[in-house]
Amino acid sequence: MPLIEKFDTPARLTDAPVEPLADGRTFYERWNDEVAALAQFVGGEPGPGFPEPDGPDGLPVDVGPAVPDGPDPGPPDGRLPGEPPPAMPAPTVPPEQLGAWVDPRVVDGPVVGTRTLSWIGMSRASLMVWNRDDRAEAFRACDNDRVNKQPEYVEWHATRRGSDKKIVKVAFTTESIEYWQLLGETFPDTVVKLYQRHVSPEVRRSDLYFDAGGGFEIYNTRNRWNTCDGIMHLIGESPGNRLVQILGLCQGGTVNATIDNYANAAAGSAHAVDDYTDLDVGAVARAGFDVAPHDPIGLYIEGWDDTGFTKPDGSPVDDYWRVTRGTPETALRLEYEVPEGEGFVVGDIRIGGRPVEYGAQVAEHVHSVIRVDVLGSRP
Amino acid sequence: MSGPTSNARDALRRIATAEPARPGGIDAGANGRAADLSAEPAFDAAKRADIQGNIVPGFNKDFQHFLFFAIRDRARARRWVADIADEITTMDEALDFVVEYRARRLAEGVREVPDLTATWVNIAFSHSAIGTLAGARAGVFGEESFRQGLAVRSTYLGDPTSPEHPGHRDRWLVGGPHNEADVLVVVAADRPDHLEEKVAAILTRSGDLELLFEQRAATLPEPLGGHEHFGFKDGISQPGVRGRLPDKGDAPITRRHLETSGADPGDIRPDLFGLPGQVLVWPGQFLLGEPRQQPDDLLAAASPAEGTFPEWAALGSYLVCRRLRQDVDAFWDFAAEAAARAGIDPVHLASLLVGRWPSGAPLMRAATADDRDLAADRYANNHFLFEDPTRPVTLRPIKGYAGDHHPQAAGDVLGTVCPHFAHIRKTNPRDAATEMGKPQDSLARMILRRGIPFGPAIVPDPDESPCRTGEDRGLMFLCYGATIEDQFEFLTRRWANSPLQPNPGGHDPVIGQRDTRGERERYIEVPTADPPVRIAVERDFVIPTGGGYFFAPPISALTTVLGGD
Repeated sequence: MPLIEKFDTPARLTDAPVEPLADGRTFYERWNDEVAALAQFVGGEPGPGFPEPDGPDGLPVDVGPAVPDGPDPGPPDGRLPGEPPPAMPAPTVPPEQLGAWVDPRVVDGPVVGTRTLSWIGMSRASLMVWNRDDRAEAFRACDNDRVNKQPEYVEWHATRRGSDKKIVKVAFTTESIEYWQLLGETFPDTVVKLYQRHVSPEVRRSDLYFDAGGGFEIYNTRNRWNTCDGIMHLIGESPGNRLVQILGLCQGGTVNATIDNYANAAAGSAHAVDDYTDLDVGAVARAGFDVAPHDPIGLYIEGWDDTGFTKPDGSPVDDYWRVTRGTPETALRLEYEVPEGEGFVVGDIRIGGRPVEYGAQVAEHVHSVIRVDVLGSRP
Repeated sequence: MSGPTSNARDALRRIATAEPARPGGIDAGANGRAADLSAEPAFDAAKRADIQGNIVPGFNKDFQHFLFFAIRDRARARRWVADIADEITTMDEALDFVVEYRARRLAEGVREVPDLTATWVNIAFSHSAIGTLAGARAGVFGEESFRQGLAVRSTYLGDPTSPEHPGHRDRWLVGGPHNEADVLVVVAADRPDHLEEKVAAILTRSGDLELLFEQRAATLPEPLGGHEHFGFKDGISQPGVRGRLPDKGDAPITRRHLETSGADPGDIRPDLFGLPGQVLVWPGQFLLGEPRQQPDDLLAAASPAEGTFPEWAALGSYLVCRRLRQDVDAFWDFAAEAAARAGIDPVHLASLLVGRWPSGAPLMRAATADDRDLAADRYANNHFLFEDPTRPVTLRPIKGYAGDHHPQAAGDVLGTVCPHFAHIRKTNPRDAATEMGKPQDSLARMILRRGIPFGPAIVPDPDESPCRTGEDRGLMFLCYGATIEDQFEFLTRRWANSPLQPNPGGHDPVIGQRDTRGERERYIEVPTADPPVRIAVERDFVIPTGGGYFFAPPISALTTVLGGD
């Protein structure tokens, strides 16, 4: 019996009604089909992908002030700029030894275990490459350039109030653009209501949709309530915080035949997620295990850690985290906000003795995860 | 052996009376040359004379004493600093001693050379002390953790938030908010009488400073020499520092033992390791102003940090000191209870917590039983990966060495042999990808550990007193690095204290801490069963009782910026 019958929505969300759409399928059936195409399982056909998220002119509506990109991180294989590639390829294991990326709707196990792939939420490239010697600048740049400087598949928005612009809330999301594009296409009223509930009651349908003429409207993933005035789902483009990409990283790991991770010295990216996923799944596949995405498939937020966070009086903070979409085990939206009546706000909190001036400082203590099932026989 | 029993005492007796390793060959130390050292920075005699010797190569003496001082009068303190400068042991002196000691061992065919001894001194200062001593010349240290100090960062490291807890910073013997030390002097000697003499001499000359606290420390007596108080061999795995000695035939600071000629050009390991498993790291990870590790590359250097420290501080290093009391009873009581739940022997369970058997043999190469021969083999005891099967390496010829014939480590991607929570897998994940991405990043986290036990050993214990296990004993943890936040603090907070990082499986049960609004329970997921058993770790085995963040300056600064009239 297969591991699952169909792909469920992230965190098993039930945002969409169950009534059939114009083509006779339900939203959930369409989601199942789209995920199957995104995941590119062994023997599967590459999917058509989703349409580009931007507006008619290809530009976002408003994503806030841009900051210059960081210094050139160098060639993707980790070499210094200008440095020639290695003379010889790294030793590899035979392809037949590698486990495969498999469809849990087809395979039936045995499941050795569920593996959590977990990485830092704050941009590792900003901390260790672009602004290695200036953490304050790393935090500032990440807060101010969500599209390019929040690449670890979790994005955040810091809400500021008052004349001193102190942070009052930091909201994190790992919700995929693909889910919201489908929801935006099929149930606009639901989209508006969700924005009004989670971002602002001031949200209007016209804020979220382009009029494409002829009675058609297109959901704008980079509307103001998902960029400069709030956050609802992922939009990042550096390299691209999309479900298709994280699933592609998992799939790519299963064809990484390098004999071990030290031999894979040319591992590709300054970002934590890319190499963590590629190398960890690769190690599992090289050990001969097949790998399947764990249902419900999605990126989640986990491991938020407020150790060393203190109130203005120096005492440890209370629990100011709220999972507002998903579940504690499959958190899609996490908000950090001090309840009214405490007499202070997030910007008054100190982390390890340092005042919170940027949402990125909180992002450093949040992790983004995706889970995979490991199939085979335990050694 | 008769006398009172406890889980701790029983375990330590077993460890102390285990079959000794078969004597192997004396390490002739083929002075291996890497294929090309020309890219590595030169450490000439003048440079070596400016670097404190406990940073590189490290004191590694059996008897040490730590003096924590406060400055009460600036002018007098400056004179004292200039005066003690002559006592400070340089990298040059320490390296020469090591070379001579090694040569005597080889020539005489022995492991110890009792008549070759030395007594050494090093010094480090808090940020506040540097400001006091140097005044306007102090400059700006970009390392914010150093500026803040250990007491301010304490709860961020997972130390207790409740003032009632014995590890709370308000209760520290030194380094708490009300007793922070300005100066740390480290004295080290091969003989206890030499140590006593040197400490007495320093104290006689230190009347112008206030002695806040002092701590005697010593390696445990045989047969547990080199072990820490829980009973485990410590300090096996340290990074090797890249660099060459141009006035000594361009010999490397860290000897290279892997054969390069005839090696597969695609095999980077001869350029990556000194001893097998000893990762080579660029010196700028430990010494300010030197080329440092490129965080996306295993081999390449990155330019030194710019603008993050005053010019005079180049060749200095940050020193983290943590006085860690060890609750040996709690550790072994937990091991016994957890072993019963997991259905394995307590010493095996304890070894899962550490990642090595008490002898030092790694679980990765000795999965089911301790192997003292493996532990004694420095060419094998650190040669293993975690994720993939470890390939053998070809060593340069070594006189008297029969070769590494121990079973190679099989891959352990699922963590069933060496769990992901094991202390050595937590703090040095080796080939594993981590929450920061590729294993290249892990090289930028490495620290130079220079710790030593303090307090009486439980075994051997001629008194067999039932109270002995409750005495004050533990580890004077010291480490050097070019940053505090990206190295020591990173390893502590992001890996040891996390159940998810660098890979999920539980907290580091040995040194990990957790304090969520006073709740300190941690957990481990023991992989011996299917599914793994999650076991709560309710007590702290390691309790912070003091310390500080210091800076070990270049020696020349002691008579210029920091000392003198």
